[in-house]
Amino acid sequence: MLLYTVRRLLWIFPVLFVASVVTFWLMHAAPGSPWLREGRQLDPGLVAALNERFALDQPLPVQYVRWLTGMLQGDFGTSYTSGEVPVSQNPFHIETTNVAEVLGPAFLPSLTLLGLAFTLAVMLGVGLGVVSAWNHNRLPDHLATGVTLLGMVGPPFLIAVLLQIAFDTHSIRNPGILPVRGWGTPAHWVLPTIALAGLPMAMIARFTRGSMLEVIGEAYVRTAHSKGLPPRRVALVHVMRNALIPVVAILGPVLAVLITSSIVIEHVFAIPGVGGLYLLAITSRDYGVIMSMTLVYTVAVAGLNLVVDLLYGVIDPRVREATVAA
Amino acid sequence: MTAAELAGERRSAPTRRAFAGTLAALWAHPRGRIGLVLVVAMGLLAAIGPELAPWSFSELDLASQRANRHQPLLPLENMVHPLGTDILSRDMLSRVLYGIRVSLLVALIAQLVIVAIGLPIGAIAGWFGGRLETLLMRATDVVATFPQLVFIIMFTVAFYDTPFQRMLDGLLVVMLAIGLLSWVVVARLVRAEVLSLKHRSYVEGARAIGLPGMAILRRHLMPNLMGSVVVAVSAGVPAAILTEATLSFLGLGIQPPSPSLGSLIWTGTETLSQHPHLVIIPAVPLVLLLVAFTMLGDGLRDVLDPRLRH
Repeated sequence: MLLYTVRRLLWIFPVLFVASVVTFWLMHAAPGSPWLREGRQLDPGLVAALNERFALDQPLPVQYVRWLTGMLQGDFGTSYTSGEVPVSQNPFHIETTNVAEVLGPAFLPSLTLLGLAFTLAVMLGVGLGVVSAWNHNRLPDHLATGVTLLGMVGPPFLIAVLLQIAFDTHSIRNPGILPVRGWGTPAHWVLPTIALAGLPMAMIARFTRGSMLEVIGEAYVRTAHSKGLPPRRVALVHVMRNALIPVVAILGPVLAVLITSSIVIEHVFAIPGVGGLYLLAITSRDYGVIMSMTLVYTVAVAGLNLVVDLLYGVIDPRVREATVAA
Repeated sequence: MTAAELAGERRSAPTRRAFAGTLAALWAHPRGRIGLVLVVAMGLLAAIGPELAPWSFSELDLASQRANRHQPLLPLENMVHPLGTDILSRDMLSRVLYGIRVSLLVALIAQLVIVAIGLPIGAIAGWFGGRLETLLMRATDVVATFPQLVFIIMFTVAFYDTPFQRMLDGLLVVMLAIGLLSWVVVARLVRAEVLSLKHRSYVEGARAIGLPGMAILRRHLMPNLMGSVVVAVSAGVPAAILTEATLSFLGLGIQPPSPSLGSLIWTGTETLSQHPHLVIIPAVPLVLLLVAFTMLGDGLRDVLDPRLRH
């Protein structure tokens, strides 16, 4: 088990290496430069001087190695565009900020949103799945499956926009109970959380339902029923304990979906989080922010997948033995 | 009749029968039937809709514009534009019909890219095994760990405003981006299937009579793989539609003036408070497309997946 854990942990490094090389190459291959602002043309000499100062004129492999050595020493690099472009022609007057300073404060809103949406998705998803399976092919099942289908086919950005329409403060139809933009009070959290939780909730509900149905058909469940145990006890003790184990396995993909769709949700609701900064950095070629965020997203997705896999081994002894044997 | 023709004859008849059988089974599957009908309907709309559309997607109808130029026509208000116009007085019906075609085209061609990469990688890994298999599957693992949407966004941005990106109004880059990051499911699936089929007696028999590996792969393994590949592809279609819509919604997908359902919704959000119908009209076909392919995918999985066959 320990060997397996270590092997999986080490596996993150090649993934990160490939991810960073691909990101570096893609973003520098992209046309445009960090010195362009809303069509403002800078003097070519100034651009050349700026490029030289920030080593953007060096060959890509050299730039990559420079970035990598900085990263290994805990220096996340420079954000070019959060400062102001110099009004004077002196390139040394440009203000740049450290990427860590730019991104640091943005993590709190993003993590709050992710945490809320994840909790909501797990609670609703498992609940709907269990109710669905326990009332197989009866009205509650059809209702729950309907809600699940809505979550499956409603793109997160569309749910977000529709919620904005429904709660729009500017329209006459609605007095505006919940704010549709920004971040600050807990009231701001409600709509983004719902929009973000829809798809993961549906994924969990579908999976829970299938897993429950499989276990309900097992012989030991029939035995429990024929012993005369109350149905509620069979459901809670005999079925759910076994049926919910495989649900843990789907949490990896669920978290991946959650993290990537949070970028779009933050964009729609104008939340001052890392997702919004990431999109902004991409359009303004702020290489330092792009590289750091890509790595943060990759580490988060890979790391959470690892945690989920290990957790799966901990709660299901059968899996643990299989991985140790392998 | 030559031997080759005979072989061809023998192959095609069961294939046709299998296809008809799948359709019949799908028709008997409640969700599969709804999915099939919806997919055919949306497919027809995508195929002939833009040809029948009363206007072109980029034509400004200045004649029926209101006195207040920024007030779009509402649906059913003027039957020249049954679904109204956008704020530039372009016909919404025509734009939506064209958008359906774009969304469907991107999703289907992305599946071709996915199969073109995933199928050979999985088949080669499963069939030849050894070092090659380890190498290919580790590469697959790396790509599988990438946060998909992040890399698709970056790929699209990397080619932003280049001649390559302008090809097919930006469609080409989107299809490639989706395909390049989504093939891992197919590769893993095909490898697993090849591994389990490799030691069946008919495959060992084919090997015993000296058939070359490629011929066995093509003639004996591929037909048996097709079921699970079709299931994976049909599950991939709604995912690709969703990704394309998200990209276009962020302004990174198909380039204006060509509309896609995602970019229509994005444009609509700019006047969200005043004209919510500009968001809702393109949202309906987008959701219908997703419902159609999700249901068809569910049906195909129940019908074709050997693990679920009772």
